[in-house]
Amino acid sequence: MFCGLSMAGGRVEGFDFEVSKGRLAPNEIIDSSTSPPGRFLLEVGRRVLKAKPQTDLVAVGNPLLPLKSEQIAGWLGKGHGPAVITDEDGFPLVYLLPREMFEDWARFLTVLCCCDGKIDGRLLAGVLGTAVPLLKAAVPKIGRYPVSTATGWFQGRDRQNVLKMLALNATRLIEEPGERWKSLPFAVFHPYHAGSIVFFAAAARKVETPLYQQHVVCSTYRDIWDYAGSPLQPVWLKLPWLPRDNSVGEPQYALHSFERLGQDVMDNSFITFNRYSRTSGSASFHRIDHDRFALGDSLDSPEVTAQWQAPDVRGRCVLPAEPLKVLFHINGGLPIKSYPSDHARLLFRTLQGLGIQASVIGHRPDLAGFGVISVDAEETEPLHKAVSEHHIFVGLDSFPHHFVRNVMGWPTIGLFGNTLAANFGGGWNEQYRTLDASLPCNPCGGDAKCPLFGRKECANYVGPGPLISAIVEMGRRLYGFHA
Amino acid sequence: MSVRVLAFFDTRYQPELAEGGDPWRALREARPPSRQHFALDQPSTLGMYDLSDQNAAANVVLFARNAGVDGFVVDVMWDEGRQAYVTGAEPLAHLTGDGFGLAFQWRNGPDVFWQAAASAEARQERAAALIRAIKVGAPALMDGRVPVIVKYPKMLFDPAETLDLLRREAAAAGLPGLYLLACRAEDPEGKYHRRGFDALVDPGPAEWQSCPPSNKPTGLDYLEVMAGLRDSVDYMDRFYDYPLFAVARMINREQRGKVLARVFPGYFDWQKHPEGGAMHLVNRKSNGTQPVDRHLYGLFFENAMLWTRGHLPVEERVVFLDSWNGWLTGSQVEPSLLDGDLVYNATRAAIDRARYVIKSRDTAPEDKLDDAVKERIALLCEAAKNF
Repeated sequence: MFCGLSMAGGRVEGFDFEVSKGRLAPNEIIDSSTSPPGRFLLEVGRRVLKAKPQTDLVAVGNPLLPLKSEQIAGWLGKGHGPAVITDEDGFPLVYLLPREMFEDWARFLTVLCCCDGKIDGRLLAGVLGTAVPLLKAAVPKIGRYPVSTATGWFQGRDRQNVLKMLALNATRLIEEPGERWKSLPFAVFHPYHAGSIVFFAAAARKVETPLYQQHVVCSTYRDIWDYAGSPLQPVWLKLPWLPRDNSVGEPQYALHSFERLGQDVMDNSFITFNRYSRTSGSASFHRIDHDRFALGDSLDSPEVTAQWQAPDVRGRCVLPAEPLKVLFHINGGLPIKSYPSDHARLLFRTLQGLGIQASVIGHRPDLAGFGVISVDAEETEPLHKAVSEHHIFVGLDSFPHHFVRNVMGWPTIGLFGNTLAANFGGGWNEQYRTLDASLPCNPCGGDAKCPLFGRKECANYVGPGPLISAIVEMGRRLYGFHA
Repeated sequence: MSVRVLAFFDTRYQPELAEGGDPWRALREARPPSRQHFALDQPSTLGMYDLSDQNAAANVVLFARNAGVDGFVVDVMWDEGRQAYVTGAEPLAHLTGDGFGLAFQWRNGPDVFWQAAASAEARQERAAALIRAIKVGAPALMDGRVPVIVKYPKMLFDPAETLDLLRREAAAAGLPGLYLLACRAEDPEGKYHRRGFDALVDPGPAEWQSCPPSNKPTGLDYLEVMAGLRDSVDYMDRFYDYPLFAVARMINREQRGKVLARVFPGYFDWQKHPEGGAMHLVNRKSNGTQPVDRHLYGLFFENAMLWTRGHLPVEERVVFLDSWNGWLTGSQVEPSLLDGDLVYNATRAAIDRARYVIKSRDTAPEDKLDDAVKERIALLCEAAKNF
């Protein structure tokens, strides 16, 4: 799907890459939903240069298109310098770039829109200080790019307009007189949701030399940012976060955001669109690794991915092992995202019988009869405090879970229903487990109700038995608890 | 060790095992008798191979290995003419080993000998013949033993004695033992376990319909069919929604006993039912125009592997793929003319995804709750239901 050519001393050699589903073999590139197409272009160039260090010129097929090196070799013509080969309408097919573009100016590749040859050619010309002609290839017109493609892109016209707009803004800065552009920072546009902030911060901590220096974040997440420990500089976006009911599209939100950020930010940074560009569930990589790739890590073997590594942070409760105290977050706002209520009642009745003290985030008077304590911990600081007072945290695929696991490093059991445990929970260790029923419908992405059975609750949540077993086992292993 | 994948494999694609010496004739000549039947697909990349050709067999195994398949399950059947059991697996034998092995499915249904009483001597002789037949190639060991699926466990005259006899003959023949699986959907009371089976394996789609069909013909439908106003398929055949069919097989499966999962990309068997009565799995998303839902199949496969990782002992973690080359039922994974390598790639991707996740879980310490605590939790949960 991704391809490149090494051109050196009249010799041309092709390289083809697949999107990895887990092997991360040498010819595979990790799937990253938060990387713009230009990041994949950069990766292909890096791989080609690594394989052929003598390369003068690298030709990279547009990552948005399913191309093979053999195909793009046929379109090169007699070009010996930088160029963008396009279809008749100017949709870029191949980027011919000198090695310096990948070595000295790599981060500018992430601002390429990859959907307009003219814009990208101008941007590249500005960076390289030389003409980058557009060469037309005799291929059928690419036509209107669909919202989603067989190769996993989730783009559509609106997202591509955002990419174009940011590429044009970058071009404007580069074309300013002088060399100020060379020292301007690069900023990631990935402002929401709360869990995303946690993941991006965790990713940024792992990347030695990120492509970006700044991160555009909703200002309502200051408290999360303070805890999350990202090495990037925040650029505060004073706008409410994107509604979860799809009433505002992400591209529209992005445009509002740029307006709200103001001219000063647009004049003083290169912004890349790091909201979802690809369907996230097509591979089993953790979102932190999606973000690490976006930030510049190649992640070229499974061993270096977050799921296979020991946790960065570990915390543990200092209270005596008995009574074992467990904090639950089981209300996801909608029934489909919440732990099923029948399961919950059975769960807490049984925990009571085992002498385990359960607390629940949110107001749940209906569970008080089972000895469950309701805890107000919706905000970050009270959440931090509440978790510290419990031995184990059990949570849905939601911010509290991601915060507790990735920022506090607390013993956590993640409950997954309609989302993929591998993407948002990931690798197990002594202090972390995920639980789901492994139904073939997972992940369904269902919003209001189960798309298969039509019920309001998700059938993929495990019943109370396996959950209680996991709690007791973790309590025994970490704290010496005996049921 | 990750979860292994064993794919059902039809060895009859070799002239000496085919009627009339043309193993692909049935596929070539099959024509859908109804517009509601999916056309059978034809092989592309691997071609209509002759399995007895060493290069062809090597290509088949290479493709399977590349997809992540760890071995084939081949049928072992009694051949009345030869008075011997045959597997047809000889061309595969030299390609096994190094992580790729063979398992066996004993088609004991047509093997009437085992359905009635017989002398101890005759039984022993017959059992020894069966064991001789499965001594071919390197086995895909489960729990250190050779896996044998008993296709029709209820048809054995004396199951416990038969299994015991097979085990003794296997030991006498120098095999490391037999891992015996009954092809049954459930064993909640442990009946099959007591008879000597090590585990069960989900039956194929035709043998176990895990959800109701989407068509429910009425008497009026019958009359309309009889009057020639309607396609008889509406009344005779059954259509099942693939997602529902797959999910129903995985839901609460731990309550069915120790049953290993079987996954399949598609299934329709009209070629085997020329008089009607076929079953069809249908991709709902295509409005019934396509037999395979690759996305759902991938999830079915991946989740079956993850479930297996969480519920079975390490050496018994196997998922059965039905099938590698079941061309006559549209269940094949091999590349085809109509689907290209889409099903093959979906298989490979699902295995890759699952193995990546499984590896990320294997680094954690194993859960070691003792049985008494597990029982206490189960009893408390049960009691809570009645509270």
